[in-house]
Amino acid sequence: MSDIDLSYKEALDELREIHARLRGDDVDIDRLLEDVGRASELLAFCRERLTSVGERLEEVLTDFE
Amino acid sequence: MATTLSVAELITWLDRAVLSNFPAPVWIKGESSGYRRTNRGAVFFRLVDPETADQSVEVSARGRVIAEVERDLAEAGVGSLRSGIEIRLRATVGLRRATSVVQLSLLEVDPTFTAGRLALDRDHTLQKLKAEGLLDRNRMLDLPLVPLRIGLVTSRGSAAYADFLSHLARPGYRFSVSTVEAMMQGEGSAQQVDRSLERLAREPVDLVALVRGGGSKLDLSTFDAEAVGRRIAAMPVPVITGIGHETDRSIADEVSAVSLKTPTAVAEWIVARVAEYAGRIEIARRAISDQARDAVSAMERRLDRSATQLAESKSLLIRQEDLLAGLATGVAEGARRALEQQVTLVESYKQLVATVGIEPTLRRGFALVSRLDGSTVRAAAVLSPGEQVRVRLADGSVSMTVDQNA
Repeated sequence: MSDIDLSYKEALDELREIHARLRGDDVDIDRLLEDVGRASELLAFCRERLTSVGERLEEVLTDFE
Repeated sequence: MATTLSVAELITWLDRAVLSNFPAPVWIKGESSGYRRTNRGAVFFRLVDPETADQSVEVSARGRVIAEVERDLAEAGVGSLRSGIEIRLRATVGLRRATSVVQLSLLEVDPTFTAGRLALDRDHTLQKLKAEGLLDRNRMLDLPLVPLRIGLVTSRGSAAYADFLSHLARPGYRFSVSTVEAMMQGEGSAQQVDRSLERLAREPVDLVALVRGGGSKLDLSTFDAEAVGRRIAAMPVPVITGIGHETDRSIADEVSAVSLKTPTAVAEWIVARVAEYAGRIEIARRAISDQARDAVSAMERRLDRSATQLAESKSLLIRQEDLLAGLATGVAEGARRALEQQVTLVESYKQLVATVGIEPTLRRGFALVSRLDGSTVRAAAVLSPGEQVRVRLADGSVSMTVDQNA
């Protein structure tokens, strides 16, 4: 995951791309494992980003209230 | 030979001459000079002709006459008999035998004459001060916003002094009063007032109060003195007078920044000015605190709105999480489905390949026996008598029943 040097939005866009590719009729099995592996990495990255943003937000909001 | 007179005879002749010329009292006017009073109450002064200045006549008055004269002058508001005032008086003219000096014996004075001359002098002085631009000089000074340091010119121990201090002390502001004493009437009082003002001009005071106690008719000459007027005009701080008279305005009143009737009025004026400033400060203080409170509550409202907006950002995160979860499921399902499709595809190819491989063998006369469940029968031993099997030949399949084991 640490090798992902993307913004959240870029990661999400790539994830959507993979998802669209896998839903299509013409799936490339040679790329399947690679795609799923990449999707897994991207998902973990995005979730981690959401979690850390959520935690920071919680802190800031606590200071606010 | 001519007649020789003795001194006594001469004086008798002179005395007769004077008496015959002045059988009755006369009215005479002039300026008083060299005023002195004896221990026994008699008064002596010289009456000088103001025009020529080098001609004068001696005037004497007994104690009883003087008391009446003083009372008349005081009632006219011109103060007591003294040097340097123009007077019109009625007197008997006589000769003092011991020195053969003509002497006037005072009977009465005309107080209105002196009052008029003093008023003329006063007008004259006023015109002079006005011409020099001194009349408004003290008035032009800015009045102190918070007059707490007061210079006081008065006679210590007088009622004026006590009144002034008690009215100043009353409301509890912290005034500091520098008092410089001066005689307020009589000979030399104008010089004392002048010097006292001069001293206070060098003191760090916000204003100078010149006060004198009240009374019905009082001598204003001290405050009509040109020197006093000039001194007030030259003062670096505003002068406020309260010299206790009802009718006339003295030179000091005309020249000072503020002129009031009594010492009490002066003290109250000062207190009111300080109170007004204190009031303005209080209003400003309230305005500042109100504004600050308003600003803080406006800021709080803005922060509340921001907090709400920020709280909404939490739901944004939740939407993102949902999105990710959907994508995760989608990716997994897609991948599985794609894989299954491929497996199915491969499987069908395998069957096809398997089917295609048996065809030539059948054409050579072999048969493929299979159970009804589709499994290929590879040994006779697995079949039982009466069991149905399918036999596939080159051109088609037939169904057969096992008769018995061969």
